[in-house]
Amino acid sequence: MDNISLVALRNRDHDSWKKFMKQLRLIAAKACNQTSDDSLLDEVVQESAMAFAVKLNSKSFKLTSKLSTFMYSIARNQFLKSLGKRGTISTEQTEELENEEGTGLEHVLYREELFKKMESAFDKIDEKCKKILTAFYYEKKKMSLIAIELGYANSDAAKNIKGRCFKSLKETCLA
Amino acid sequence: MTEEEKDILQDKVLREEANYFETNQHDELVSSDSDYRESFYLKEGISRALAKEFIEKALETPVIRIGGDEEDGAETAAYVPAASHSPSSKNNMGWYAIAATLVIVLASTFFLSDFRTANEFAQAEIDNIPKSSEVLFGSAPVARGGFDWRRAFNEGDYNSVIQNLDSSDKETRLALGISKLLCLNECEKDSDDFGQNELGWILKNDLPEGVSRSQVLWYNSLALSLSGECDEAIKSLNEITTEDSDLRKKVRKLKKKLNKDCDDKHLMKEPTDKVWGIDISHHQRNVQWNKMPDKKPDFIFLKATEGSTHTDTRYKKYKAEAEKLDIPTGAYHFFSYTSDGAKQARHFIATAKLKSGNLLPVLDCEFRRNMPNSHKVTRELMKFIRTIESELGVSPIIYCECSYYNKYLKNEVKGRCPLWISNFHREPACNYVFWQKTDKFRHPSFAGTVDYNSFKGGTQELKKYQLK
Repeated sequence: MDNISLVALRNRDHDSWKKFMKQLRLIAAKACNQTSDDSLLDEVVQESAMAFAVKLNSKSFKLTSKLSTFMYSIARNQFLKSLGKRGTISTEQTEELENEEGTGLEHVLYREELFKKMESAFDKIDEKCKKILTAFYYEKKKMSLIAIELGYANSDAAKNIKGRCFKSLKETCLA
Repeated sequence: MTEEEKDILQDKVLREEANYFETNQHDELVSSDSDYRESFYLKEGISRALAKEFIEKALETPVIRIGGDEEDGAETAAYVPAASHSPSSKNNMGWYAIAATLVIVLASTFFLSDFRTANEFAQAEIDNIPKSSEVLFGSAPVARGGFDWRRAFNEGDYNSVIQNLDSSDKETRLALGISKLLCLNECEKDSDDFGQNELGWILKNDLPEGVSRSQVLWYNSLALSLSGECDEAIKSLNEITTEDSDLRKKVRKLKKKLNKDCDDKHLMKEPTDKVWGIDISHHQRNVQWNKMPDKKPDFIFLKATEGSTHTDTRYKKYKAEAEKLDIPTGAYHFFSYTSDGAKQARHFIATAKLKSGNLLPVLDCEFRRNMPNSHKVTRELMKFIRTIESELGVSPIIYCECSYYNKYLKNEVKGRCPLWISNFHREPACNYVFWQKTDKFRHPSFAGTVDYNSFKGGTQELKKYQLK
């Protein structure tokens, strides 16, 4: 894990990601106390990979420990959240999660639930919305550049479209 | 702050463009404004959804494969745990052995692992259904009633098949069922009709000549999965007996996904307590009050206020509707850590306008990110409680988690304020009067699920918690 290049991961290098995913599963198994529940492990690996990909894309992301150590802490956190969702979390584990998140279990689970809703709603949005939301929230491009790239009259027009797209996504999520 | 300003602030935080002041302002809003919090988390969810796509693109497959195949095993086995957990070099051999064993176990489950839900998996499998009428329907008659359904099917015009095919016999019923399955959302049909009725009918009757029962069972399982009929889909999958190892693999995979996705053990369909109620706010939209008597709660808590200025937009309306149905109501205040406790209490009293027969006022206090120090939290909460006591002459019910109560309030209000405890996993360890058991209660008045609360006692005891 520790010899995988972050730059390669950022550049979506296929081999690096393949290697990363394989080794993440081993780390996740450890973070999950070597659980024999495959579906739990699948969930933890998936959620950890997604949480990592979000961080990887963040401007302020700086790895201050080994990647394996970092991934262990992400996987452990996801493991506790998964136990919380399944209602099988112990009091000690609840405290561990609350300390890590700085908030109560219910709050953590509420946030996770909204993430899931958005994930499912996002699959269904049209291409136009997907492009503008990706450019703004993920690629973090400036509105003026987005307007040029996506062919909108100006940044205000692009901003309006972005607002409408999010509103419609929100409505789908909360319906 | 206007909605637009809030939107801009959220975007700045998400794009890491917020300064110190804006970050603080954001933290305050996350803790005190539930609408703001909800929107922000949903926006965060966009990044998560995109992260999934990012990984899928990197892995060059729509499926995120977990683990690895055996030929890569040696490489994977070289994983050494994090530095802080690193054993000595002698012990590394032990770690290698454990890792190698894990790789072998994981390799066997490799092909069964992907990130898609049962629904996504079923949708992808539809692409693998042959689009040829000859392959699917064998020797079925070419045309009936003047409509050449084979031609329409082969041309992919499933809507014509659905609209025009007279499905009075087994051959055409199969064609109709498969057309509905292939035409997921684009055809004129009910949104949850994927041909499961037609395919189910065929399986109960004779199959057309030359058509494999396992294949029809597979199509039927896909249709049932897509329509959300999990138990039926699993039953259909269990009936499949085939020599085709690919199909067997797919059956195992879908069954596993269905078991995972359809596990509704946390869903509460019926009340389980003698005296029970729900709690609602503006988040519950389009409440069908006419259906409330079908499963009439013994009480309803309504969100009235939040912080020192925010009022729930539906409090008045919902209170009036519940009262029309003679359901005792209560009002709760969502506590904010960014304004004065006494000021919040006065805002709540002025808005909730509680009267005789209403449940005691409720203080809803919850953990949030970056809590202020515990002395400050307790001090502000106590200001709220004391203001309620002096203005209304009663102590409020405290809604929180046990850990919150123990940390911030136990020493100050033990035995003074009744507790309404939220715990979705087990009976609370602290001495509660109301227990919020789940947020996944099904009620005909609500489109989704709603919070369910049990009351410790009978209807007579409930009166003790109503204003005189």
